[in-house]
Amino acid sequence: MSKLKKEDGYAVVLAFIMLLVLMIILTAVFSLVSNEIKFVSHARDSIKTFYIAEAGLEYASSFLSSLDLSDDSIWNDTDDDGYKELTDLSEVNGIVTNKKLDSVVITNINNNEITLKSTAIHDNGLKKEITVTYDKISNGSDFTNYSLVANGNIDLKNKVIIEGVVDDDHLDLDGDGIINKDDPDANNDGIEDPVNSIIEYEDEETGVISYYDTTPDYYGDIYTTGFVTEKNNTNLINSSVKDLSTNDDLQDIVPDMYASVSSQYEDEIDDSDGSNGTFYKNTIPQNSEGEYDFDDDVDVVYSDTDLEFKNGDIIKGNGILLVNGNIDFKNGVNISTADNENLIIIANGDVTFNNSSDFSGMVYASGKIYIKAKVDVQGSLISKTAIEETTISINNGGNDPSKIVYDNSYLKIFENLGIELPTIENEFGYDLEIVSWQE
Amino acid sequence: MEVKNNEEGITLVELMVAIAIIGVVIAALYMSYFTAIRVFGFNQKTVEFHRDQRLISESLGKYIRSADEIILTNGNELLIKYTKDGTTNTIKFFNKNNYFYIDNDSVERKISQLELKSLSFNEVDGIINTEITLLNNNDKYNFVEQFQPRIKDVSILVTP
Repeated sequence: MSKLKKEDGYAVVLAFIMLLVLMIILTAVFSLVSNEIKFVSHARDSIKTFYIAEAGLEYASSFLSSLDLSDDSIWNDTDDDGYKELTDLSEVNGIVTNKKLDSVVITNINNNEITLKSTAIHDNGLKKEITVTYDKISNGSDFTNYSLVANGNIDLKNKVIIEGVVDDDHLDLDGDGIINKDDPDANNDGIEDPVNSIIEYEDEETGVISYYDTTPDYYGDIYTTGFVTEKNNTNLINSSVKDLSTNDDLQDIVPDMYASVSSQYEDEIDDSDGSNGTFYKNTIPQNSEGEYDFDDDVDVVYSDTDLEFKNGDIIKGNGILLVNGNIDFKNGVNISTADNENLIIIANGDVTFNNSSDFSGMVYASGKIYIKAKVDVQGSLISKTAIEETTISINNGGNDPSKIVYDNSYLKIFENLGIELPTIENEFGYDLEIVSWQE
Repeated sequence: MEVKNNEEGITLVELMVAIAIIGVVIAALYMSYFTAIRVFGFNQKTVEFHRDQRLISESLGKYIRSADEIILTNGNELLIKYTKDGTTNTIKFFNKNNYFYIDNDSVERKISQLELKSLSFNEVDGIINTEITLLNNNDKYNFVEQFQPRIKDVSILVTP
């Protein structure tokens, strides 16, 4: 009886063995699949967190364009580490769950470059950091950075001299009293640095290695959407030609300064009484010697029609001549400015110089600018005319060439009078281009 | 005596029925066992493919995004110059002995554990397209990905 009982359990044992084998396989498959799930969800989180960090950069760069870093409600140094960071991240964080944009920090600003570091963190501890350097590319709002700028052709004749300036506003890295860009050996290694290059500079105390671009920044280039014609030994000093004539996507590079400046004096211009304080309408104040003198009491002289200066007229400048029409400086008219004085000529038409003059300031014409005598200008010539045969023409006709030397000190007149310079219609003051990307 | 009587005689019919039942049970178990093994093998291969794919595309993506300069050679070699902390580095992605390799400033590293059947790179409108086929025993796994360099003035050079 007992023997029989023992043999009874054989089927159960067999079933158990089979079940065990199946369970082992099942467990293996399960662990494999669950690993795969973990693996794939990590990949998903990693990718999503990366894109959150990138979204943070995009969002922050929209605030960079205005670059109002003084506004604490946008950029603030919340953790007092000396770096400003974006204050409000809710716009990005409002649309995501489980992960968030932790911070967008400005880690470096120099000259035209801004470096941002964006950090995104996932709930599971995953962290993604992207460091991006943007180059600010001005998009026309700085039309005052050029010696000659025109929405059209520029015609240079008879040994005209156009001179730009080198920006010398740079650091003296090695402390030898020589500003870097002019320093033949900026990193003091005894070997002259190659011109236009990036040099390596190591701070002896901290050991920090920085890189420095020794390529000089020039201002006072010639900038046009048309062609530049140079004849008879035109002389460009520190000035090059930026010619957009081959650009398919032509756009205005000069805003309407007449409209902009006159709109800021709208009330005075509409006022039938005319002159008002330091604003003169259709009359130019003269000093005791009969000279038209833009002195301290004269800010703006406005004419609502064409203006013609005649032989013997003397114009002494420190102010703005605003004319709703053409301006013609006839033979024998002399324009001059003393030191630290600037004359700004803004015409809603053409400007013609027939006589030699020497002054500092700016000439803006919504039409064309003709220079037919030896005219020396320390400043800028700006013409808004859409492409026509010639929009700036400098041809003094003699052996003594006209000379245009770039100088933007006339900007201080606009600043003193509180006149905002117009910008080319654009959402931003400048464009940002990514020049470095590091994850 | 009674016991002896009981031990006598399993009829042929009984035996055949028993064999039939056992046969059916074993066949069923055998089938499910092999299905399970197959599923296991399939999953394992998929996991291996995914692991390699992710390693490859993470390293490709990271460096293509940071690239200052990209040189495509022969459609199957990708050389990237990128800047890290102010210095320029070079990284090359290529096929060596049928494995996916990177060469980071002369340090060669094998990225994929699986055999690389084919590797091709090309560029369309500034986007780098990659097509990679991995081989795991006799199974092929093909993946196509696109990467966009982030730096605006990236120079992309295609050489035959």
